[in-house]
Amino acid sequence: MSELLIEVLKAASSMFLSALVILGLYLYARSKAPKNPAGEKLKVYACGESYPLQKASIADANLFVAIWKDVFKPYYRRIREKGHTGVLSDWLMWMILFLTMFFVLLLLMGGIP
Amino acid sequence: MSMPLWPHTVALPPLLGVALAFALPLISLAIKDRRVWEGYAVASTALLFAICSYVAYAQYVLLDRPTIYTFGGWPPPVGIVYEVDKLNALLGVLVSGVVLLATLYSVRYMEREDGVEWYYTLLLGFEAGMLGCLYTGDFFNLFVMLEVMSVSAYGLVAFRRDTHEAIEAAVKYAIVGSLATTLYFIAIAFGYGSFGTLNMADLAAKVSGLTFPVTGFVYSPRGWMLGAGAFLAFMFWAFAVKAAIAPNHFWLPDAHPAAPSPISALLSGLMVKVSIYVILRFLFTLFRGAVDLAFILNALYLVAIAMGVLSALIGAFLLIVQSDIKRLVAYGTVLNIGYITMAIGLGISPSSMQSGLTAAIYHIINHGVAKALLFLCAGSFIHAVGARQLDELAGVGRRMPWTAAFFTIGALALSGVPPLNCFMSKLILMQALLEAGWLAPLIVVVILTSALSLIGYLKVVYNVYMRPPAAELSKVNEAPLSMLVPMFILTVACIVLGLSAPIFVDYVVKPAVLSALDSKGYVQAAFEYASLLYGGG
Amino acid sequence: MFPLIEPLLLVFETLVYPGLAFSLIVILLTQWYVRKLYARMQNRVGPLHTGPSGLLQPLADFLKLMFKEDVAMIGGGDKLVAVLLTIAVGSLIALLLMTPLTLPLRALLGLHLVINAPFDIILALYLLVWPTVAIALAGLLSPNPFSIVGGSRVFSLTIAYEVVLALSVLTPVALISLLHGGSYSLYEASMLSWKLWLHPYTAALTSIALFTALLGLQCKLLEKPFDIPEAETEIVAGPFTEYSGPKLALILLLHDLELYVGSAIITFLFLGGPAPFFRPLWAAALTFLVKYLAVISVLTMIKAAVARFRVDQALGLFWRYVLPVALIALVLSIASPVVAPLI
Repeated sequence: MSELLIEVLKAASSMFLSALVILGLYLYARSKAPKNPAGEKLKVYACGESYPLQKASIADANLFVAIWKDVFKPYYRRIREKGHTGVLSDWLMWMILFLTMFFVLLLLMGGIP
Repeated sequence: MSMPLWPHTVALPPLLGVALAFALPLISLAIKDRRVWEGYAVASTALLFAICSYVAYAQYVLLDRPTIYTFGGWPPPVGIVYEVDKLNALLGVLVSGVVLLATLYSVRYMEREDGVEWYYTLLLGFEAGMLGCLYTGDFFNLFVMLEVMSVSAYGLVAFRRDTHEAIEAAVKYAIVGSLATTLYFIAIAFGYGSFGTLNMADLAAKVSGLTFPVTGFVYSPRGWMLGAGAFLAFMFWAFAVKAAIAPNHFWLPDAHPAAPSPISALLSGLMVKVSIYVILRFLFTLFRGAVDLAFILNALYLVAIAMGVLSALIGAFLLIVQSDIKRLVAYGTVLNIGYITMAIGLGISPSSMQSGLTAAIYHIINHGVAKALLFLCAGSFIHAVGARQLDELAGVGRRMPWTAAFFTIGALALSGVPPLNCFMSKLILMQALLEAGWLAPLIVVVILTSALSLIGYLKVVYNVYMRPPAAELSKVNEAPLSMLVPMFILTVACIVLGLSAPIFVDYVVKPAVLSALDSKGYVQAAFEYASLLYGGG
Repeated sequence: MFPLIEPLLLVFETLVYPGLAFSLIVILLTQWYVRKLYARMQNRVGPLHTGPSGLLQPLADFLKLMFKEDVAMIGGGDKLVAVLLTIAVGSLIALLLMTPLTLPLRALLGLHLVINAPFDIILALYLLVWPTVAIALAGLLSPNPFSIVGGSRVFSLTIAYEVVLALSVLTPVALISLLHGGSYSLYEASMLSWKLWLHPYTAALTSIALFTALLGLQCKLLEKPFDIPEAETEIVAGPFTEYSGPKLALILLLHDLELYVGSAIITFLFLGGPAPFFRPLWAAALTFLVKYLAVISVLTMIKAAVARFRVDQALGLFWRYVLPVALIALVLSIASPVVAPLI
């Protein structure tokens, strides 16, 4: 097990080494390239319209997982509304299900003397 | 060897903690200066951390067997004993260290609240309860310490008593938690009725078929296996509720966000782990020699795997759709407890039992550190802005670069990015799953939930740091130094635990695993004290 | 002197072969091949003038981009994005050190270092995640609505293909480890994977896993039909809208490196690597090259032939159709010690 962990450290050191070399290459190329930060170049590209920085933020609920929530809406409804009802008797039903599973497993696996 | 002084330090942390906790309100009657209370709390937690570190040092370096402390000189099984081996000692250091950092953090975090003397009282009581649960060797004393810990936790969750959310969460938590401790009490009733003893080492001896002084063999020779089965089932259910293993997790996403942030760090990082420790102790140490009960244990391991997988899936799927920063991190706790439970369930296959236990203990340490870091950083953001929704926290990280950097490292650590610490423990878990043969498809669950949790935490990092600021943020400043220092220490711990993983696993976690699986040594240490009852010394 | 050999060898392998220098050459030649093939499928000619029949065209494009101006817009991530992209490049190079591509060093120098331990397939799967995260974060760090939507779509797709790719890669590794003693290591699985084609049961499972792995890789590379984050007609250039000059060169380098490493891993794990000619080095290299170009051709043909999915169609496709197939393949491969001797 520890040989695997040592290999992880080897992979990490190789990763950082090549990252450093490529970063050096990038910085060298950047220093050689022309630099002329002026005017329209620094603004947000919005196909010609003006776009203040404040407007560039999308609400959190619409961002990463909007599509995921949309595709899996029926499953989420099942978990959130029917699973987490807030009624304690439903929790008792779940636990009795697990206890029954446990005792059935007990009977199948060894039997109770 | 200074043996005479040494055993007392095992009992000092819980007792001293309770004494210091009760002394604080009396002090607050006389001295009204907050800084005295805060200094007192920090000094008390530092003292407890020093004692627990000494216990761990002695257990790992000086001694090679568990230490017993007999209360009042009454030997087991007549009196209450505290028994500490390497596993308890390691977790004791974790608990007392993180509580010390959280107390240091609370000094500035709670500066606008009043009633702070009760906060520190409950905090010290909470720590005393946790250390008592860890160090105890008597399972009725475990119930007492469990109640001390839980009642302090209910009070701390309800601390912001002027918001309805905190009160509702605390009442929910209190009802469900009390149900859980009642279940454990029923388990004790079954246990005492079957075995006739309340001492853990005595229990371990009896299930292996050995006899113990004074109490002899099992109490009811014909029905004890049924009683043992009922004991294990109720004990597992009770601690599954306390550890928030699905489907018993539903109180956690309400209780942990409603508490003040340092308390959330302690609840998520430490209290659920103490419950897992109890399950570990019963399943792996005490009932290990029980060949007659092997089928009950195997059934329990299977149930643990099922509940662990369910926890991981529910935690991950609900984590990515949250918009409240603390609720998102709380679902991350459900997810990681799922991993630890899956690691426990690996005891079903003898080839992977040791790796599974290593993964469980290592992940307890890693997750405790990383989750505490996340909650403390989230608390800094909330303290600066005053809101918890991600839309309102947009762009705060740009004004608080240190906190944002620590949060990013903590989030990357928790999603399992090499070479940080949680990746290493998840790697050992996945390796153990593959070793167990038929459990290998479960590795898909770990990979899927890791990907989902990576996206969820990156969502928070994006909102806090990369998003353009939504509201007016000119009054937001970097967190004060006394809040930054604990976060810095936890970040360094995350990185060091990850980079030094081979050494840490070999020299710290493996001895704890071997000592946890060594039930003979556990019984032997208590037996020597118990044989004093037959005369001689 | 001897304890120093390991770190020196690690540095040499990371920087020269099969690391940075060799990978850059392979990427340029692969890009030439892809562009020629793609062009011919579209009835065009492809690169023609730079170098003999356009061989140096990818290099010319890379150098052109490297020396153009790198505009750092207001509110956008400048150094951080560069760091993230270079770390992603580094992770792919580290992944190369885990494959048998390091073996020719043993033939030439007498020793080679390969990152190999039991169960290191898990590490390989983790290293493969970095490029996608880097591209998504590069998109999210620029305050342009096109970039943010592009980055968010990359994450949605990640949820779709990551599990499928992991399951597909695990299937041959599990088969080899259970039947031929490979201990779940990428290196050993690559060396023994030719044995999977000898028995009908394992051959069938390997082909199913190959199919799902190709689909997963196509989605990972963000090529048609899954190039949703870069949908030109909808969101200009997706995550890469605001980047120019050396940063854009880094992004394209990352994309080509992903194609190279992904195809190499598929060739090693599913197609048997240099089998059946291991012994003369030139024969092994030639066989590997032919198989590698076959995989790249298949991916390019899919790219040329189909149109683009909608993002919810892509998610639905992976989760409803491809994932159950990959899961059944893995479960059957876990059960193979019991089932295979019966056939």
